[in-house]
Parts: sequence; C-alpha cells; structure tokens
Amino acid sequence: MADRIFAGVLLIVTLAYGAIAFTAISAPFQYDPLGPESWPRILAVVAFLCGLGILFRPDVQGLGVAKPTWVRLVAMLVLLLAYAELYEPLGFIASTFLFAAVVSVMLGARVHHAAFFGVAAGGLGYLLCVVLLELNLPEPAILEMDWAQSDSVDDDAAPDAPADTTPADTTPADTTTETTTDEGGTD
Amino acid sequence: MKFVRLCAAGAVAVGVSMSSSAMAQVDNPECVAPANPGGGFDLTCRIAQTGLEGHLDDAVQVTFMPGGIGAVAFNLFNTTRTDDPTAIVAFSTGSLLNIVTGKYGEFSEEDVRFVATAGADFGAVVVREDSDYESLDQVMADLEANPQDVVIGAGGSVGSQDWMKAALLIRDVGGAPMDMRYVAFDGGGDAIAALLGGSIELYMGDVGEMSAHLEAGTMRILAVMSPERLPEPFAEFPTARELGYDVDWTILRGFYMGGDVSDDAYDAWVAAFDAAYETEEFAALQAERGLLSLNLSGAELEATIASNMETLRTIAEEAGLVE
Amino acid sequence: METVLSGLATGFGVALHPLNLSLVMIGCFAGTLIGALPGLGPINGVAILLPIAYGLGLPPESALILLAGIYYGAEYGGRISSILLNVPGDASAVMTTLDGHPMALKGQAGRALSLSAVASFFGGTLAVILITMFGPLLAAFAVTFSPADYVALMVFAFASLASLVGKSMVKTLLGALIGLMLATIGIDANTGVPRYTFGLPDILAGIDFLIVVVGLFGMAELLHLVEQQVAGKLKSLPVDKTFVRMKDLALAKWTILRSSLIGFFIGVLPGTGASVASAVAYGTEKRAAGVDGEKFGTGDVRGLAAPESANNASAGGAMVPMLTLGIPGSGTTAILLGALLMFNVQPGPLMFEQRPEIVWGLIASMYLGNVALLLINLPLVGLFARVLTIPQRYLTPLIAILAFIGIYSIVGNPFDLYLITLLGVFGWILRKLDFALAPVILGFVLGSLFEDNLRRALSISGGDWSILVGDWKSVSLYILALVVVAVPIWMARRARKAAQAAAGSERM
Repeated sequence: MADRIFAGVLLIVTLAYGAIAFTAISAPFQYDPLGPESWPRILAVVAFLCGLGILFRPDVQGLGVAKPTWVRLVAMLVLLLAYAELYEPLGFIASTFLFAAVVSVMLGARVHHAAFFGVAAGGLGYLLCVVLLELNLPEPAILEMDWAQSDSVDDDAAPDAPADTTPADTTPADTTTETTTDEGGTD
Repeated sequence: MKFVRLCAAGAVAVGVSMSSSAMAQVDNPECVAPANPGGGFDLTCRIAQTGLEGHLDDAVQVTFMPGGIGAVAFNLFNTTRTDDPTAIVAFSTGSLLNIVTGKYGEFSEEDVRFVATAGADFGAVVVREDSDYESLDQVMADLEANPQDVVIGAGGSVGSQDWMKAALLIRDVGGAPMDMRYVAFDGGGDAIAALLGGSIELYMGDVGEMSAHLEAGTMRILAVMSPERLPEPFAEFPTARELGYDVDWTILRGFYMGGDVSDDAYDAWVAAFDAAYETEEFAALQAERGLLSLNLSGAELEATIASNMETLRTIAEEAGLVE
Repeated sequence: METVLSGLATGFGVALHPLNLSLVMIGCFAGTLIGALPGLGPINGVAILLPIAYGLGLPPESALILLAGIYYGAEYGGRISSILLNVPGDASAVMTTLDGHPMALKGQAGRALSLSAVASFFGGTLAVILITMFGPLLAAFAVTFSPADYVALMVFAFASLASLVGKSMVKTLLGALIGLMLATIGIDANTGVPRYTFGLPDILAGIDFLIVVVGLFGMAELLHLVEQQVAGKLKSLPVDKTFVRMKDLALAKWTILRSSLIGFFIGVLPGTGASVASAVAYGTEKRAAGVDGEKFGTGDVRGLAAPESANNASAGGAMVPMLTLGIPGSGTTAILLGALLMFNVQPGPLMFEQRPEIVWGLIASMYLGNVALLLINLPLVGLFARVLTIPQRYLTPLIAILAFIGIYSIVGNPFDLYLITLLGVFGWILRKLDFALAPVILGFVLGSLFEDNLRRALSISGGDWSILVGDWKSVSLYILALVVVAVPIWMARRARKAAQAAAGSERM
C-alpha cells in the first residue's frame, strides 16, 4: 500500500514535470538538436514508466511504523522546525540548549542529565564553532538589540554584525512570547 | 526573514551619522558577494577587502548572498537596501548581460549606482598548438565562407559572456550568431579539455586563465579581444582590432550600490577606490588574482557601462534573446 | 614512473604540511568515531560534516583531505560496532557482523578487532598504491575523452548502478531518476533557459548541493534513528586482552590480498561502493575455502578479514573515477565530488595537470591516513568501544545540531534549515520504501554531466547521432555496460540451476 501511495504521488509529480517539459520549456534558438526540453521529456517518460511499474507490482506493503513511533517522529519534526524557527531570534546557545534538552528528554533522558547535555551542547558548541573555528552562528537577538542601541561598542566586536543585525521591529517582548510558545508546545 | 534582517541592517546603518574626513569614512563597510564562497564574486570582494585596507577607516567585511547568479542580491538592493551607504555589491559583465536578458527581473542598470572596478579580463581566441589556423584572418575567412565550418566552444551557455565573444566574431564577418556551430561547456576547464582532445577547433577563452597554459605550450592565442595591446606576458599577442576586426570584449569586475544612496556615501567609496588605484599594492593584488588593471570609478565607470549596455542590447535583440 | 614520483613528492609536500597533517589525524579520528556509532556510516558522516568543513574556509586540498579522512576512517570504524554489538555501522559493515560477532561471543573480541584493523590497513594501503600507479595513466588517457565518450561513460555508470545496488532494479532506477530530475532545475547550461525555477531567483543556479546532501542523508538518518530508537540499552561486549596472532595472518593472507583486489575493482566501478565489495569478497572467500567454507559464519578469521579488507580497498578504489574521470565511484565520493565543485575545482582528467596539489595531496594523505588509522585503532580501540555506549538520546540531537551549524554557517540563511528538515522527511520516506539513497545523489551529481555531454556531442556533430558510437572508446564502454548488466543476471541464473541440480541429485 505504502508503495502504491508513493508511486501515485510520484506519478502526479512526473506528469506535472513532463507537462512542463512538453509545453513550457523552449529556447529562443539553440545549437544542439535536443534543446533544453528533450532531456526532461526523456526523464519524465522513463520515470512515469517506473512509477507505473511500482504501482502494479508494489513490494513494500506498509511502513511498519507503530503508532507511538509515529507520535515520536512527528514530535521530532515539530521540534526540528521549532529549532529552525528559534535559531536566529534566540541565538545559537539558547536555542541549542532548548533543543538538545527537550529532545533528549523526549527520547528518555532524565531531566537533570538532559539539562547538563543541553548546556554542554550549546556552550561547548559555541566555544568550538564560534571562538575556535570562527564559524558564523546567530547571536541572540536580545543581546544584539543592546549592541545596536548602545552603538559605542568598539568596532572589533562587529565582524559579522552587518548581516546579523536584529530586525528593528522585533521587540524583546516578541521574543519572549515565542519562547513560551515553544515550551508550551514541547511539553 | 533574511530580507527583514538585512533591511534592518540598512536602517540601523542609516541612523549612524556620516562624516567625511581625510580618510574615507564608511562605518562597518561590507562587500556583498552575490554567490556562495569561492567563485568570481568572492574574488572580486576579496580585492575590495585587501585593496581598500588603509583607505577606509574600517576593514571591509565580505558577506555572501547566493541566488540566481546575482539576481537575489540585485533585487534586494533595488527594493529594500536601496539607500544602504555601507555596502557595495560585486558585479561582472555577466551580471550586465543578465540585466539585458531579463534574468535579473524588472530592474535595470539605471536603478543602481556603479562605484568602481576591481579589475578586468579580456577575451582571447585560442586554438590548439598543432591547429591549422595560424592567424585570426584564416578563422575569419572560414567563418565568412561557411559559419558551420568551424566548431567553436566556450565555457558558457547561449547568451552568456563566453557566447558573446563568439557572436561578436561572427557578426563582424556579416554572419548571424544563430548560424554558427557553438558548443557550450560548463566552465573554461571543460572547454579547454575539449580543445586539447580535438572535439572543438576554436576556444573563446579569457586572457587571465591562459597564462598557466601558455607556459605548457599546448595552446596558441590567435588574438586578444582588448581595445589595446596588453602588458607582459601578453604583449606579443595582436588585438583583434589591430588585425582589422572591429571587436573587443572586456570583462569588467566591479561593484555597485543601491540607487538611492546619498552622494556623500557614494563619493566616499569612490574616493577610497581612487586612492587605492594610486598604489602599487593594488596593481600587485590584481595581478595576483589573475586580473588586468582597468581602473574606472564614479562617473567614468557609469559612462563606460552605459555604452557597453547598448552593444549588449543590440546583440541580444538580434539573437532573439530579448523579446 | 617519473610523473608518479614527482607527483608523490608534491603530494607529500602538501600532506605533511602541519595543517593538513593534523586534518588527516582529525579526519581519521572523527571518521572512526562516526563509523563506530551504530547507524552512522561514512556517507552520513561526510554529509553532515561537509558544510562545516566548507564553512571553515580551508583551501580545497585541505578540505578534501579532511573529508576523505572521515570517509575511509568511517570504513575502518564500522567494524567496531559490527563486532561488539552485532549492529553494523552501515551497509558495508553488514558482512563483518557474520564472523566478527561470533568471535567476540567466544571471548576473542580483541583478536577480532585487531585482525580486522590489520586487514583494513592492508586493503586501504593496497588501494592507495594502485591509485598511485594507475591513476595518472588513466587520467592521461581520459584527457582524450570527447563528449561522446563521456555519454558512453555515463551509460556505463548507470548500468553498473542498476545492476549492483539495491533490492529492486526499478527502485534503483527511479531513485536515480529523482536525482536526475532534481538536477534539471535551474538555468540550462546550453541555452541559458531557466527550467523548473517557477520564477524563484533562489534556484536559478540550481538546487544547492549541500542542502540536498545534508537533508537527504544527515536529516533522514536522524529520523531513522528516532524511529529505530530502542527503549533498552544496546549491550556491548567487552574488549578483552586477546590479540591477533601470526597464525591468523598466515591463514588469512591470501584472503586479504584477494579481497583487497576485489574491493578495489568494485570500488572503481562507478556507483558501486563498499557494501557490494564486502558482500562479493565474502562470497568469493567462502567458496574458495571449499569444505572449510562451512565454518564461515561461526567466527572464522577469513570470514572477518575478507569484508574488512574489501570495504577499505573499495573506499580507495572509488576515488579513482572521481580523480581521473570526474565521475563518482560511490555515494560518498559523489559527495566529495560535489564538494570539489563547490570549491570551483572541476574534477576530471585535467586535475592531475592543473591542480596536482589537490590530487597528489589527497593521495599522499591517504598513505598517512591508513598508517594513522592503524596506529590509533590498535591501542585506542577500547576508547572507540566506549563510544558505542553513548545513548541514542544524546546522539540524535547532536546530529541535528551539527547539521544546523553546518548549513547555517555558510550563508546564514535560516530558510535553509527548514529545507534540510523537509528533505530529511523525504529521504526518510524513500528509505522506508526500500529506495537506496546513493542512486539519488549519483543521479543528482551526474545529471548535468550526462545531459550536457549528450547535447555537446550532438552539437559538435551537427545533429548526427552516429557520433555517439564514433570511436572505440565509446564502443568498448557500451560493451562494458552490457557486461555489468548481463553478468549478475547470468550468475544468478547459474546459481539457481546449480541449486536445482543439487536438489535433484539429493533426491536420487
């Protein structure tokens, strides 16, 4: 069944892909006899045939994922998206702390172990990546607000500042709301 | 998300007062390379970073904004960061072509302010060492007789700057660019391999990339497409103009700013580049990065680009690249 | 020969540079660690760490040395979890569990670990020696490849992919097609026409390779780990004081040599990597042992040495087509190849001439890396074994953190973080449906090469299709393609017949 659903979705995508190749793609003029449209057309036809093949002779019946596993997977996905959402507003250290701690608790760690792990991941990760390897990771938005307002900070502190400066309209209040939602959502 | 953030960066920076002193004053100057690290735009920005040391109060930071071969950055500086006095964006002749062919969207070269060049490169007509072609004249005669006779290759697609070099040649003997036998490669390296392997007869390359190959003696340059003779080590090669063909192809590398930038801010950058152009270090830097010196800034650059754009538009229209 | 020696001199000059030397060490150490972690294999390790290596701003040769170290280091480390846990680090270590774990059960974990380390070292080193000798020759030959020959080479690559990888041929093909279709997004390299960009400037230059790799491999692996998460703790057998004996090596010496050669040549075949190599080597040795072959699977030293020398030799072999032809020999080298492209280095035959510091630096670093791996693996195996007991609840978030750091630090665009997460979901679904992911990434990397060369060949010939079979090089590649498709089918049929005959004679 799972195979059939996937093959069905793939057939629709291939049809759309093929439709574009057969109608929309064309060059004002070209030197090669194939042009930009022939290759996608070939791919679409072959992919369509393969999709049909799976539709008629599926070999995977189900995903074999138990219900609690689904819950865990969806929770993981939500956490990942939340991590992505909070990456810049909270900065690397805080968002990583939250993510690491919440995920490890979800996967069965004790709370104080998880908290320690979160601190280690956020703190050591920051030290290693930003201080030692000089990678560009987000600073917490709130701190940057302070920097932007006080302004007299020495210029040495601003290597990656231009690209990272805070959205002027994000007030500290906004950020707090987001934090609370996250905690509410993950509990 | 990114847009808001970058926009705010502009807003914050505008709030900071501008003052002009003996040394050009730009706060937290930034050079935007509209690509991933490592490419030509990165190189262009590194020249600003190193070359402007000592001519600006602060060091220039290089940031990256990939997307659409420069289209994302071009649109951003035409919509939200139009008056950002701190940032310059790298461009090349390829960017100008993209403007002509509409790949950069609705905005044109008149919507931004061109600041200065980082340097230039020029087209070169290249054959294999053992090729029958001894001179550009023979190539042109063959092209005139039958454009399908010569298999021409270059490192870019139809409508790219590499294609333009071939199109210019064939136009000069009265042919149409659509009639030639043109093979597009993915970058100069692939095209050179095909030339050495005998798949193509003529390679439309750039002078800068040839220096390494000339020593090996596997290829010959029939002509360079510069307005005047180039300095050593390219001084021995005739220009296409000297040989009687009215074509040249200059690849500019330089920087633009948003269209609403104040004259003060614009002049500060131009002054910094003008000061850098005077130094020997800047020339050495260009040579080290494989660029030839072509130092244009301010109004002079804008005028050059305006006239270039006219030629590009004409060719693009003739070839049906623009509707 | 002269070029080889001067090349090696250049290479060791690069590889012995303090920065690169430490990168070899770091790469090998991190690779062993990643390989030892159950579930994380070389391809995931390289995928997750690639963006970070890129973000560090290293020169291309240093980044490649680091990533290659992780690659063959992980082939080394994969055996640790196979032997001690009976859980293969990844597909290529499956065969190692067959005899490695029984040995550990018999209280000979130390012997199994040290024997496999020696076998791995031998396989890896032999592969580098073969690269050194034949790489430059093959590259010099490949320079004469025309676009039409490249088309034949692509056909060969996809043929060997279809015949050797994955459970279902249709699914392997479809996986490759998904990669090929993804590769058509962006501006057409021939006519400059945008395809499937839907007016989005962000994908005019194509879908970002790093995002595809980290999403499809790293993030999908993470979801896989979450799904597989076991409530209890995996129980690792202790590393005891036993050690490999001369008698073991004497017994396994021909096995190691044969398996290394098998591994190397299967590694060279485009698209097929360590998992096929170790399976073929194991099967061959079992047959070669004759009556003794029945002991295989109960803790035979040959059964352990065969897959280990083969999978390390294949990691080296897979580098050959990457360095000489610009096409990947395995899923992981497809990622390394994409990494080179990101550094504006065009992989291919001209690399030996134009960027000797990259090619020879990499080769020299592999000599050093194999020695380093043997040295850190023999005494430190206890330390790596401790890694096995890291609970998954900490490992899982760590993968996401590394992936996020890598992707964000390149251009600082948070939108990319959503993209890799969604691609991870897609990759996880593909895996659940028995699609191998390696064909997808191979299709993605090879797609534009295939299409562009086909169209180049036809524009060179002015539309005459006979150019595709115009010279002996392309013709022989088409024949080879037929062979790699036909031989496995023929062998399967012969095996079935033999089984039938055996069943028949028993009845009599």
